[in-house]
Amino acid sequence: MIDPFVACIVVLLALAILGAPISLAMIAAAVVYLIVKGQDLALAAEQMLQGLYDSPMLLAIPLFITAANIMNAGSISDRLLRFCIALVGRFRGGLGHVNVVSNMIFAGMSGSAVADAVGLGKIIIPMMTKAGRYSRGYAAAITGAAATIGPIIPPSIPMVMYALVSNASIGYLFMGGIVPGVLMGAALMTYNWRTAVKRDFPVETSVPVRELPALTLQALPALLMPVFLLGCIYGEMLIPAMSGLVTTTEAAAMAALYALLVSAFLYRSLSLRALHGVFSESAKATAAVGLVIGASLIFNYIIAAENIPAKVTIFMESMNISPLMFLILVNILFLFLGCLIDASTIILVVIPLFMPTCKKLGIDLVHFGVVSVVNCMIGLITPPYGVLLFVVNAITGIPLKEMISEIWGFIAVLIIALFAMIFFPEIVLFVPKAFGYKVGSS
Amino acid sequence: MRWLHKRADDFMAFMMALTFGVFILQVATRYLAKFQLASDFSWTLDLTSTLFIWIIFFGGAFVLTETDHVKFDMVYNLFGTGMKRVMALITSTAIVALFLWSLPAVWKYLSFLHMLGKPNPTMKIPFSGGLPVTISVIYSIYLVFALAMIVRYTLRAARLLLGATPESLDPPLIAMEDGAS
Repeated sequence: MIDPFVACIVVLLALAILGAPISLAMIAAAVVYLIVKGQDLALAAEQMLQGLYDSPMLLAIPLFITAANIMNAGSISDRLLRFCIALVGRFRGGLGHVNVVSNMIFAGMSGSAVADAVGLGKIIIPMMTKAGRYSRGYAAAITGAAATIGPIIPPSIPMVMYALVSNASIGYLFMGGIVPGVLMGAALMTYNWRTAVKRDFPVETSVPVRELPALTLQALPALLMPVFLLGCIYGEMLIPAMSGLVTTTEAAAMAALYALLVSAFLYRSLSLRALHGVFSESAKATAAVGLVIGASLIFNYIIAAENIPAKVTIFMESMNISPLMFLILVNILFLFLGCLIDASTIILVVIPLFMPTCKKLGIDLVHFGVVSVVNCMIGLITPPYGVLLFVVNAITGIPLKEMISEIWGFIAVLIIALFAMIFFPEIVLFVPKAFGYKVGSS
Repeated sequence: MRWLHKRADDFMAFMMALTFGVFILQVATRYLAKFQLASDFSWTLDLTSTLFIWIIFFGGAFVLTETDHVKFDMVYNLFGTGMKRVMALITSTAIVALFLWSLPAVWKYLSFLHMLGKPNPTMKIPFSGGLPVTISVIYSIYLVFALAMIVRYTLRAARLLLGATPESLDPPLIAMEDGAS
């Protein structure tokens, strides 16, 4: 007699390793589980359909993707970059700082690291490598590393996924990302500054301060976007009269609308044809990600039916480890998995295994969520499997080998930032608490 | 075939634009309702949820190419054409077999939902509150998706057997999209 769960895992791993799409491998493995267990085979379809249909929160994902694609299609990213050059280009290693700062601002409008790397990378990498001022590998590496901030500073698609599997409040999760995102930016800029001094990177001709107001004005609608978005999400916490007007999902739609209006009317940089492209690309990305989410829903159903999270809890308890030790071990595991598999799979399938243990150990779910998402974002730049490395390679043609030889320093400082967040939960929880979050309440 | 793919793509863009539009409408009516200028629309949530699963499964069925999917292809890419063909044949066959195996059950599930027809809260089956269609119609897109997977992977396996190289079936990515990250 074969154990249904073992059969399921074997089929999943086999199909995934042989190169089948992860979503189809999970659906196929779930069907195998149901066959061996002798259950209704329609359960797989039912779990997927109901889960996707009944989680309105997930609709934020296509809308955030659309908003980011609109900004990339219009000239919002260009203007933002020019503003950042005027602001921080004057320092040593200037374009490196520009890269990080523009990614931090961009992060406040988009919830996807890939969208950030594509949108900004296409413009800034050629600027950095022009006349051999920065090596191709360094320009590509800092672009990938800076893009990891995208889903940490709100909004954030991975945090929506985490909220789905943990039931933690999405609003507080978003807030929890603000300080960590800034910390990651600071870490990257410090590393860039040190490298710039060591390797004598060029200083850009500084833009005269008197031109700053004009450039700021030009970029203002773009700069106001994060303010607008956060206003939509948190308005009700600040102004009680606004309560219940806009949910997080609706805020995503408002963000897309804002980006659309600014691009189309104020900057006049978005054609109808480009808009068709934006919607079709966004729909495609939604389908790819939606299939993975749907398939993980069946998978989580199986994992729950097999009582796996409870078994993990019992195992962890038998090891008698402290909450801090647990966090450290889990984070090392996630970093390792991040080198091999994709972030959404870790968040949707692996994290739920540890949820009950977290609760039992009294680890705050917002703290755990933000730390895990930061960890998974570092996973996007860790070789051999680093989606951001592939994306930058795809848009610029810079060989992976050159990028990877430069990426280690960035990974190291980001890991230091990650461990700072683990050891000092206040880095994450300070802002949510200021807005009335009670630790341990989610 | 190319023309059809193009129209499928247009339909995806249309559904995405509609989702976006309906959301804006939802916020607007909510706002107006608060000041008693209009009544709140309850059907918008059903419509957007419907569009969401249709975008996912319609897209999965007709628009996403093999390379658009989230994959773990590190091992796969280590091998040469011959080995890749064997691997692709195994995965294609497994996908076809398991989707086929579950097809009758999916059909039964959908017809059961259809038979229920009207929403039945005591059964705890989600229903389309404000939309003039039953949930079975909305969910039927999964059947379309399953059938499409069976046909597509059968064709893929057949092409591989007839001598096509796996590389020729999976054109490399130009721009990657991974909403997840």
